[in-house]
Amino acid sequence: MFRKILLVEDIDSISYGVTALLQRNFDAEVRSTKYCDEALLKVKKAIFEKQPFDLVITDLSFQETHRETKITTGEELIGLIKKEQPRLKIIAYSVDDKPHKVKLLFDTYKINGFVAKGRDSITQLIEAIDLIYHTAEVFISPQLAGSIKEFSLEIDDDDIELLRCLSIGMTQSEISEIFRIQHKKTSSTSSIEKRLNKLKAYFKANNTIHLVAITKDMGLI
Amino acid sequence: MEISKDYNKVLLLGLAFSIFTSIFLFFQVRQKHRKEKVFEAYSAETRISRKVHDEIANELYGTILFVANEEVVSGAKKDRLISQLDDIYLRTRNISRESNDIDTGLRYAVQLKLMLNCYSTDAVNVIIKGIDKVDWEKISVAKKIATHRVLQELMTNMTKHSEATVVLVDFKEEKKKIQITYSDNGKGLRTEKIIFKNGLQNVENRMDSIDGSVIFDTKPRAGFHLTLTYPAHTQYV
Repeated sequence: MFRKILLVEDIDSISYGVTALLQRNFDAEVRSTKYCDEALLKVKKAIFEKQPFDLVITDLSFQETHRETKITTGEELIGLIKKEQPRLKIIAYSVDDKPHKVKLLFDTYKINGFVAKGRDSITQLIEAIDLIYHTAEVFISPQLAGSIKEFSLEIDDDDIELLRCLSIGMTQSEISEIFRIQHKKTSSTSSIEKRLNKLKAYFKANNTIHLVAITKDMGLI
Repeated sequence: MEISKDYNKVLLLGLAFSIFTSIFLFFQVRQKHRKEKVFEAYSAETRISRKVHDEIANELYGTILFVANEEVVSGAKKDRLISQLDDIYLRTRNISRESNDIDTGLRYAVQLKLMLNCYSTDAVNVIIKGIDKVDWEKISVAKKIATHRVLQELMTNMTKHSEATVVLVDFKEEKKKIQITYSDNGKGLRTEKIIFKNGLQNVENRMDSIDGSVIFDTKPRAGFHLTLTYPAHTQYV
């Protein structure tokens, strides 16, 4: 299991709670700090002493204090730590669960886990640590998993044209013919069928007639 | 006689000139002022959001942890206390999220898509059309912010009041205008009128600040439909 863990958290009560939890569940040396600057120094020092950290758990936002700090956000800190020690595992632990931010952290900084602070975050944190220690997978709080999904329901002008054709009573093979004449990318009957199925799923229609009725009601055609 | 006539002409010309200049200046100052106001509102919003997030949400979360770890209260009361605290915590977080900072750079469209996607659930399908066809890079920061916020407002209202199961957000760039059409298959405006009023006022104000307009479409048979239009390029705002 991880032997040396660094916790970066500026709120005492949270820091205290998480440290207690880590010590109770894992046999690891847990260090904590309230400041990003200090966190980076600690990481550097540990590398220098040849006893590097093997896990960092960090908050993303830090309150401004009287102390002057160079690194003000967890995001910056993560970037800098990755430069010092690219393979150090990092879990972001934050209230800030805006989807694009979470996605950015995974995409750009290749963090290993994101745990959103909340009622279940304690169990999630333990789960996350277990998961990223034993596998190469990343952990993300279940309530957020949906929000960063790459997949979005998107349609284009051809879809609207298809719906319009259906609404004026054309058959699928007639539509295929028209699409072919108009040099649309997808004109074969099978791709028209595919499009149609996609649209039915998106608009929650049970059949083609239903689909036309729904889209007409919505003012699309 | 001659001299005084010329003199009058010069006076008249001077007067006309100064009137024109002052009208011109007036409009320019007004535009500038408007632009400043938009940014002021935005920065106030993000500042408050940050405060709510940093100071309240985090402290609340700390309190939850404290209660969970310590023997302040016990048994069923403890569970109730934690779940109440958790409820307050989630609400604070939502307030903070609704007025978060917006990435107006290259990742704008991605972020907008993710925001809209957030409202897609098992019960609601949020369908997006044409978002990548708009040349967002050329759109001003104020307009990007307004667009993001207005759509956020509409989506929040949708989840709260409309009972819609399908939503379509359609983006178009035509004749130097950005046109965004929102339509859902929910209860529609008539029944939502009273509750929706506040949110709609916000939508109108925001569109107004970027010289845009909001048009309600009453023609379709069901659901709620509205079209936002604003110029793609203007010198100010």
